[in-house]
Amino acid sequence: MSSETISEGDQIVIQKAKVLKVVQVRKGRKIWLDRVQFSADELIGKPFGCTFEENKGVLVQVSRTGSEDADNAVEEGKRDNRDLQGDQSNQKITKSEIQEMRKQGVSGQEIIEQLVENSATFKKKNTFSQEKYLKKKKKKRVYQPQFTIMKPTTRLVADMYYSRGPMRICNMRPDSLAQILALGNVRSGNRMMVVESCVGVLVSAMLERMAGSGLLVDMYSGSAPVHQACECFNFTKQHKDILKTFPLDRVAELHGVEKKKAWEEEREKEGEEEEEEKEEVVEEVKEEVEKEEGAQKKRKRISPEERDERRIRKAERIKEMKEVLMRADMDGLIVATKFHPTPIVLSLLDFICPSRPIVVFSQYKEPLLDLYSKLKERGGIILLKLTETWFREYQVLPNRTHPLVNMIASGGYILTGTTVSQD
Amino acid sequence: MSFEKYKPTVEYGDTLVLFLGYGNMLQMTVEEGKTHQTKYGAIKHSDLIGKKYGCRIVCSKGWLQILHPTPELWTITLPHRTQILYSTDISLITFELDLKPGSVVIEAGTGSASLSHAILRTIAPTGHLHTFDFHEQRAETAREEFAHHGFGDMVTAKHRDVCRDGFNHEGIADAIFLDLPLPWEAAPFAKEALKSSGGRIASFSPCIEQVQKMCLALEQLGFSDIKSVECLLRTFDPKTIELPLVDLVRNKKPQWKKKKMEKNSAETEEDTSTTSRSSYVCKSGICMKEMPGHTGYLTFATLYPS
Repeated sequence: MSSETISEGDQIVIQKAKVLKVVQVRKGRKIWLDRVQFSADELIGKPFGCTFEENKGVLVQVSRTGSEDADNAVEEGKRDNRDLQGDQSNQKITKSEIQEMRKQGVSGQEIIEQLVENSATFKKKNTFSQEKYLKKKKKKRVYQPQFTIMKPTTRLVADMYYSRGPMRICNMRPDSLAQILALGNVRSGNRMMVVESCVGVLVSAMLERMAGSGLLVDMYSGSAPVHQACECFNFTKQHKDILKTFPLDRVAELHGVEKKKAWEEEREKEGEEEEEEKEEVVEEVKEEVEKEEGAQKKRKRISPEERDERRIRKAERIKEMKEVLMRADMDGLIVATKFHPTPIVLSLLDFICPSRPIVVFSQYKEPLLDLYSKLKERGGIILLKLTETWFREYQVLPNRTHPLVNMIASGGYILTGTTVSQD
Repeated sequence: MSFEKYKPTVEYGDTLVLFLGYGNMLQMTVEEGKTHQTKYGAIKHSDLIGKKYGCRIVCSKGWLQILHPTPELWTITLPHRTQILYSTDISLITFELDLKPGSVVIEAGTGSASLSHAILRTIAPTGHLHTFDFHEQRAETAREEFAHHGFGDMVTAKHRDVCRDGFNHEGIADAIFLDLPLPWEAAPFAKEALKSSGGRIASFSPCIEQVQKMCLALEQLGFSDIKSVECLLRTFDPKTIELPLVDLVRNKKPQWKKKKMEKNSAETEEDTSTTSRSSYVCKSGICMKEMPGHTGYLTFATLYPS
C-alpha cells in the first residue's frame, strides 16, 4: 500500500462533513465535490489525514477545527426559546452579501461571526440552541467548507457507495458488510467464492482482507464482472492477482462433467494422445498472444485475429478455473446479489470443503426463507441462521444524549450456515 | 495449531468444535490417550486423528460432527473467564477499526479473548496484537491459549493495568480497542500509542454515562469523527405458517352435519378442494420471543496526524 503522503496517481478519499468521494490525484485535475470545484495539485506531498479549506478554487491546508467547546455547554436553564419567532427578518445579512464576502475571500469563521452579530435572535437563544445554530452554519457549504483527505478503506468506500445510492449495492448497509466479512471468515490465505451485484464493494472488501494471499473467484453473470469499487483502492498487483473470475452461465458444465466422469475417463484413455497434441497447440498460441500484445497496444480497433486470440485466452482462463473449482476444496461462499440466491447457492455448494462457512445476503427476507428450506431439504449444511442487524447511532453531548432522530430502517438480511460432509 | 489456516484433517493438538445439535456445541483439544464424554457417548481422541473436518462421528448413542474452529465458533464455545463480546459487535469493531492483514492493534482488556481471536484472524499473517489485562491469571491463560491456537508469534499478551500504567508503547498502533470500566483513563495513553500518521480507536461500554465521559475525553484529546452506535442482532426462525380463512358466508348446515356428510358423501373431491382453500399458507421468519436487547455502546473515533 502507498506511504503516508499523498502522491500523484493515488486514490484518495475526500471527506466534507458527511459527504465522501474517492478520486485519483492527477496534476491539473479539477475535482468537483458538493458544488465546490478545486484542483488536487495542492494535495501532492501532503500527509494523509490533513484538512483543507477551499478558497477561490485553491486548497489551503488548515488545522482541524474540532466541534464546539464542550465545556461551556453545561450552563442551562437561564434562557429559553419562548420568545423566539420564526421570521426571515431575524438575520440582517442577505444571501447575496454572504456570496459577496465569499468572493472577496473572507474566511468561513469570519462569515459565521458576522452572522452571529447580525442575528437578532442568537443572543436570546439558550446555550444549546446557540451551539446547534453554529454547528448548522458550519456544515453549510458557503461558510466553511473543510475537506479531510484519507486513505481509502473498506469502511469509507462502503459508506460512500451506501450513502450515494444504496440500491446499487443491494441495500447493503455497511454494518451488514461488516457481519458478512466476519461470518464468512474472510482472511488472508483462504480460497473463496463470491457472487455479488454490489459494483465490487464486496469483492474489494474481500481483497483488502485477503491482502494478496489465497484465491478469490468472482462468479459473475453477464458478459463481464463489475469491479468498479476495486478502483477506489490503491491495490497492488499482488493484491489484485488473487482475483479470478468465472461466468455463472458455465457452472452447469462443472456439474455436467462431474456426472459424466466415468464416461469421460473411458474417452480419455482413447484420446490421450490427441489431447496432448492439442495442449501443445494451445501453449504455442498463448506465447504468440503474449508477444503480440506488446506490439498491438497502440492499435485500438480489434482485428478478427485478436478477437480470436482473446477468445482463446478466455477459454483458457475458464478451463483453468474449472479445474480449480472441480477440486471442490473452496473455503467458503459469499453471495450478495440481485438474483434469487437459491439456485446459485445450491449449484455452488458442491465445490466447498466440509466445515466451511457460507454467507448469503439479501435485502429481502423471503428469498432467504426459500433458500433456508431448500438447504434443509438438501442436507449437508448445519448451523443455518437467518439474521438482521438493528443499528442506530447516538448523539452524545453533555446533558443531551439520545439516539439520532433518523435511523436506517433495514440493512438487509443474512443467512449463514456451515457445510458438513454428507457421508 | 488450528486457527491460523484451514487444514483438512484432525491432528493431535488441534482445537476443534463438536456439533451435537442446535444450541449444543462444545470445543475440545485433541490429546493423546484422552477420552471425551458427550451425551451421545464417549469419544476416544485417538479415533479422531486423520478424520476430515466436517465429517460425522458415530458414538454409541448417536452421532455428532467435528467442525474446524473459526473465531465465530470459538466465541460460541469458549471457556468464559469474563463476560465476552459476541460476533455482532466483534464484526463491527473489526470493520470500523479498518483492520486488515498487517495491522498493529492494541486491546485492553483481554478478558476471555473472544475478540482477540477475531482480530488475529483478520490481521494475520503479518499484523500484531498487543493485548493487556489487569488480571494476572487471565493474561497468562490467554497467552497459553494463543500459543496453542497457532497465534504465538502474532500476539503479545501482558498483565498490566493500562489505566494506571499505560500501554508502554508509543506510535506503534494502527488501531486501539478499549473494553474497560473507565476507558477515559486509558484514552491519553491510547493517543500516545497510535502511529504518528494517525489511527482509529474503539471503545465498548455498557452504560451511557461511560459513553458520555469517553466522548468528552476523546474530543479533548483531539480525536475526530466521534461516533457512538448500538448494533443488535435479530434472529428469525423460518417457519411455514398456515392461517385459517374465516367464513364470510353464513353456513346453513351446522358444522357437525357437514362433517358427517363428508364422511359418507360421494363428493369428496369437491370437499378437499374447499378445505385447501380454507387456509392461507406462506413462509415466514418468526421473531424470537426474547432477544438480547443490549450488549453495549460502541464508540469509534479517528486520530488524524497533528
